[in-house]
Parts: sequence; C-alpha cells; structure tokens
Amino acid sequence: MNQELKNELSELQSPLAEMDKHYFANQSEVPMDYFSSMEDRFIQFIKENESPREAKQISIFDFKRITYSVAAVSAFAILGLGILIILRSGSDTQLSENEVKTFLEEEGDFLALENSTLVEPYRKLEKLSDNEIKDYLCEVEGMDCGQIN
Amino acid sequence: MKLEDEKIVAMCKDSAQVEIGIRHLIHKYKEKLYWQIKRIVEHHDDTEEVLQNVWIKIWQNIGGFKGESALSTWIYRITYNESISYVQGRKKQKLADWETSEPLIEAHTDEALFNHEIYDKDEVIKKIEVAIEKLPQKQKLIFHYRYNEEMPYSQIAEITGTSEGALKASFHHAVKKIEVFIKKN
Repeated sequence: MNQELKNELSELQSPLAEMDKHYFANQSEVPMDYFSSMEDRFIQFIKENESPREAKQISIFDFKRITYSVAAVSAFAILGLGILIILRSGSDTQLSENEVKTFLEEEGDFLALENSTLVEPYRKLEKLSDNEIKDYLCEVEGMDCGQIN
Repeated sequence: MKLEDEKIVAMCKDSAQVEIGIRHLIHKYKEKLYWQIKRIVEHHDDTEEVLQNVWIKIWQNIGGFKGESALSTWIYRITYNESISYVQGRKKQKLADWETSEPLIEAHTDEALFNHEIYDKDEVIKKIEVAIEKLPQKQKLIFHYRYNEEMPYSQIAEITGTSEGALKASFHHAVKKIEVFIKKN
C-alpha cells in the first residue's frame, strides 16, 4: 500500500490501515483460468466484429456541406438586402427641388414679413447721407460734433 | 505517460504492429478492467460483454490517442463510460439513480458471500468484502479505484468526472461504513 493511502486510512482510524494490502474483489462467478486466455479470445473477437477506424474521408460534394453553404449564402443575401433597404429609405429624407419650391411658396410670405421688420431700419439708414447722420447725432443725441468724422 | 505505454501506443498506431500492441494492452489491463467493470455491472456475463465493447472502442480509437492524459486514465475512462452506458441501458436507469443505488445482485446476502466456496480467506477479509458489496454502487467503485488500484483522487476525478472533494468524502464514508459493519458483525 502506498504511503499516501496508508496515511489517509490512519487519519480515519480505519482497521484497513493496519492490515496487509489486499485486493478486495468479489470473485464469485469468475470461471477458473478466465484471465489466462483472454488475449487470444479478445483479439479474435475484435477481428470478427470490427476493423480499426479508418481516416474519415471528407468529400467537397458532401451533402451536408452543400446545405450549409447554401444556408450561409442565403443568410448573407438577406442581410445585404436588408442593409440596402435601410440605406435607400434613409436617402428619401433628402428634399427634392419641387418640395423645396413648394415649401418656399407656402412659407414665403412669413419669411418676407420677418425679413422686412428686421431689415427695414437698416435700409432706411442706407438712404441717409453722412452729413444727415452727423447732424442727427450732434443735435438729437448730444454728441461732440468735433469728434465725429 | 510511462515509456512502456508510449511503446504500446506507437505499436497500436502502426498498422503492421497494431495486433501486437493491442495484445500488450489486453495483457497489461485485463484484470484491472475486469474488476472495474464488475464493480459497476456486477454479473460476470455482463462484465464480459462490456469488456468486449471496451476493447473494440480501444482498438477503434487508439490511433487518435494524443497522450494528453495518461494511457491508463484514457482506458479507464472508456471503461467507466461503457459500463455506465451498459447499466443505464439495461436497467433504464438515470446516472443519478445508479450512483446512489444499492447493489444489483440479489444473491449478495451475507450468508451467500460468507459461504461461497472461493472464499477460503480469513474472517476479517470476508467481512470487509461483504461490507464493500453492501456499499452504494458509486461508493463501491470509488473504494475500488482508491483502495484496490491506489489511484490518486485527481486520476479518479478525470475518469468519473466527479470533483476531488466529492470523491474524498465518498471514500471516507465508504471506509467508515466498512468499519461499522466489521464492528457490528
């Protein structure tokens, strides 16, 4: 008995630790000389029943492989088609020339009004001469006319 | 892998020497495998049938053995799987049921074992053998691996797919049960 097993059994305080090693086996039913001719019997049995497994031949025309290939190509095609549809639907968000034109026609009045209220004062200023502006600043705003060029 | 095992495997991979190689393997492992299987299937005829299947499996697969585990572990693992499959198929048992089940042989009464004509051993050994026969199936097998074959827990774990901790606990329980049986009888 190896020392490791002996120590383990000693720790368990088992009587097996103190005994000589015995191979415990239920020998009932085992015919006499059963093991003596085992090699010949089993070699004979193997020869009659089976040959060693040969290297597996893999054909490129294997049906399973073809099925998987077709499935893979189909999957890629469906995926590609899906991506194309998404991209095309995204480009529809761009406005055509007609749409822009219609929008401007419908919203044009509002924009014109808005522009006029913002731009009008500046347009009026454009009509005044420099001297008129200078006079306005000196007389109305009380600025020093000597400093205005 | 021991040198001897390496030589045997090399023979088995050589088509010209495969038969000699298998013959060496059978010679080396025949009794160990027989007792391992018998611990699981219990009857001699069933053991013989499983053993035949095991040698066919070894013959078919030895060419693909890569030496990632010890040759003995690889062989014991095939043997364990074949034995469990056989019991499950024969008894329509689930693995969990087999692991906790009581011995299968009806004739394993104390009297039958004590009086068997082959048993001309001393009383203590007879009692221990009876006690072992009374252990649940998997515990009996673990006791066989650990005590009879003196396998380390790591190797038993590889063969049975059970954790080392669980194996150790199972072996200790088995040893205690045997001790209790001897004291009672």
